Amino acid sequence: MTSFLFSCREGETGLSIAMAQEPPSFDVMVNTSISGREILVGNVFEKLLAYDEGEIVPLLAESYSSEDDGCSLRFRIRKGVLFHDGSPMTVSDAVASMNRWLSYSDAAEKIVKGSRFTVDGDDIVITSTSTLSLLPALIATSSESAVIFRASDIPSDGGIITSEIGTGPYKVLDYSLGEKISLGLFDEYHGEKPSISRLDYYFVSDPVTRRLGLESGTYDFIDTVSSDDIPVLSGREEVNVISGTENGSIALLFNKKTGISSSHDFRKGVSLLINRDELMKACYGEYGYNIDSSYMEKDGIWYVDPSSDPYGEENREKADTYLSEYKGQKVRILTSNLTGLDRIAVALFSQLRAYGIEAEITVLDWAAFLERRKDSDAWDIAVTALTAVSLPLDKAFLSSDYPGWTDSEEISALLEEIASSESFRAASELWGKAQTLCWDYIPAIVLGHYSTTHAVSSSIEGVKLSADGFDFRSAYISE
Amino acid sequence: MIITLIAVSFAVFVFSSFAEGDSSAYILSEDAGEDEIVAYRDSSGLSENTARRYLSFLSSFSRGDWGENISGQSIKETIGRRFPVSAVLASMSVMFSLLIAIPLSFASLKRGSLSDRIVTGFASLCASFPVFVLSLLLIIIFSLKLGVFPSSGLSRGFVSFILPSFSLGIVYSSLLIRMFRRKIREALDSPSGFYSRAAGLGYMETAFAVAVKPALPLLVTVIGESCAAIIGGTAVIETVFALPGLGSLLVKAALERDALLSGTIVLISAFAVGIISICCDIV
Repeated sequence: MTSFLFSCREGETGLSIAMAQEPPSFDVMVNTSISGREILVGNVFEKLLAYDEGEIVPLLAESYSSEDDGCSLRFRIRKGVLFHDGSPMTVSDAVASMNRWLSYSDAAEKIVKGSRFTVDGDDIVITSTSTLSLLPALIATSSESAVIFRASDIPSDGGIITSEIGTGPYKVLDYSLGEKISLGLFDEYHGEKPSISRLDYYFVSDPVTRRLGLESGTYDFIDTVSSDDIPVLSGREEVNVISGTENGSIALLFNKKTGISSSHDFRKGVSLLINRDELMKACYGEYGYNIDSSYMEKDGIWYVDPSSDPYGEENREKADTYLSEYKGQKVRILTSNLTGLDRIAVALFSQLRAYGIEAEITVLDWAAFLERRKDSDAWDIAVTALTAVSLPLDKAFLSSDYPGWTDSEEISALLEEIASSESFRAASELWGKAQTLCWDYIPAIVLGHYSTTHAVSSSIEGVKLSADGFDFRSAYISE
Repeated sequence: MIITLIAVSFAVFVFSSFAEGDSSAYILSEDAGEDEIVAYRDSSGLSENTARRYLSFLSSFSRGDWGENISGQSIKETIGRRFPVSAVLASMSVMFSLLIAIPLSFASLKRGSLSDRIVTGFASLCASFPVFVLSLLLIIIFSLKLGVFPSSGLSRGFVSFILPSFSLGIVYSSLLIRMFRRKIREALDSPSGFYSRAAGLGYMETAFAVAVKPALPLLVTVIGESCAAIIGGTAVIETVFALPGLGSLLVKAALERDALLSGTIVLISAFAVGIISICCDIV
């Protein structure tokens, strides 16, 4: 109990990483938290397929193939893979995990349309009534991670998985709630082992503490450097500042069910009125964002050039043609105090009031915000952050069930077509049309996309960055 | 004390349960469907009524079965790891506050003297200075510039507690200085003090001879109150120094609507404060 009084810094060949957030649980299948993906996915838990430098590669699947004109997918499960407790991974584990993932992933359900994986010898197979061409990419990249758990760890009552046992190159050595997760190399790993033998992820919510910790040598890597600290750390020789890829966006959701935002003219007017840079700057400062109204992130195949967004640029004159009748009316802005979203709400409030539209802001913590957002009588515009998704089918705010209550038959029809597309090229073209429709209908305004800046000791090299954050599996400590 | 413990834990449990939103917001993804949310609530017992959940909590707690938090981690194990951190932090903070307050009190007994003015100013500054600002200043000086202490975490064991407890100790020393010095001055101004001075004893000797003993009960009371305040107020220090104590855990539990964890922490903390109060009364 008192061992911490006399402990010394461990892991001379390991890394100490300061994380801004703690994963909510080990169940990375039910939660899209990026900290969960950074710490657990790929390290502790693995998927059938992985996304590596633009390619989908087999990982826990030895191979996969498409049958029946793309309506069936077969995965040959890799043999000789052990879980961290020494038990072998079997097809039963794969099929149970994948079917659980299908029940949680809305995008996957749209593609498979109720079908489920079954065991066929050493393979698992899924067959649907329409093509499954998008499913492999989704398995490899979904933010609701399609990892393989032990079948015995999957609860039957809809509860969450609490097991730390996976197949990855690292196993969990120690987990102290709210303090840290320590990972160590798994000696019986089926693939190439990383060169860093130990990873200690500390949960340090204060950005100043993280920065001071890096500068004093307590940490080797820090997550989420604040905008104010970027110039300071960039000037330090012993530190490298690295920017990740875009991993999410900030959006103004409109309540299209009732109230002032149900008016198409109002939404057009707001989109033309606002100064997007000012709104994003309120939260991010000078760094860490791009102004871009495209719904999907820039590095991906789904990106659509926003120059064709008719309401994507500030134009007060044009805004006035839509908004003049709303002067003096009140708009209710709902937001959360999570990661500075309330600062964006305050900036929006100022811009609306400057125009002559009254506004009021309600700021809640995250749990209360999600609950209040379900009440269509409680808000008109919700300021929210959206994590990056691998398929536009995962853009929840395009659904009629999601708060905002998008009700466009054309958009829904195009999304259905995308789900059944025979190829990525066909799906991408359909998405181009859907994006254009969305820019006109305006279910939400995507203000811009954010990318996270990290900082690392200059002696650490090979840190990989992707839409899933960072990983150290290829990292090494240089001399 | 038992009634107090029950009342405090009931209040925390109920307020946590009636706050808008629940732990599904943290455990599930932001776009989780209603079916997933209902399934999670059923499996985690959130769909039961609050009174039943509270009685079940009390019953389990009294049997030593503290259950699991919303992410499935053992509450007993978690609190078992964190309680010593908070206990050490609180104890060292009280120790630092005494080490600062007692000498300064004695050094500034003479009203109107230069030392009196300096110490009074110091006490006022300590009382008004935000503890997190002081903490960051100490980190910059002693961790970053001088490299003497770690900036955060427990990587260097006992040494890791010095800066955070010193930060808290300075802030609470202001209360001790004011109370202790006032009591000693009262004793010095009393007939015993007057006679001692008339008999030729110096100011300091008089203070030790006639004032310390009467001031001790007050000191013990103030220490007890300081302990209670420090136990309840370590969340900020634990966040700045990334210390895994009960204060920051309570904040996390409250934000995540983890009624079981927050109720248990409050019960434990209230019990600790109660024990300290009883000890102070006995002394």
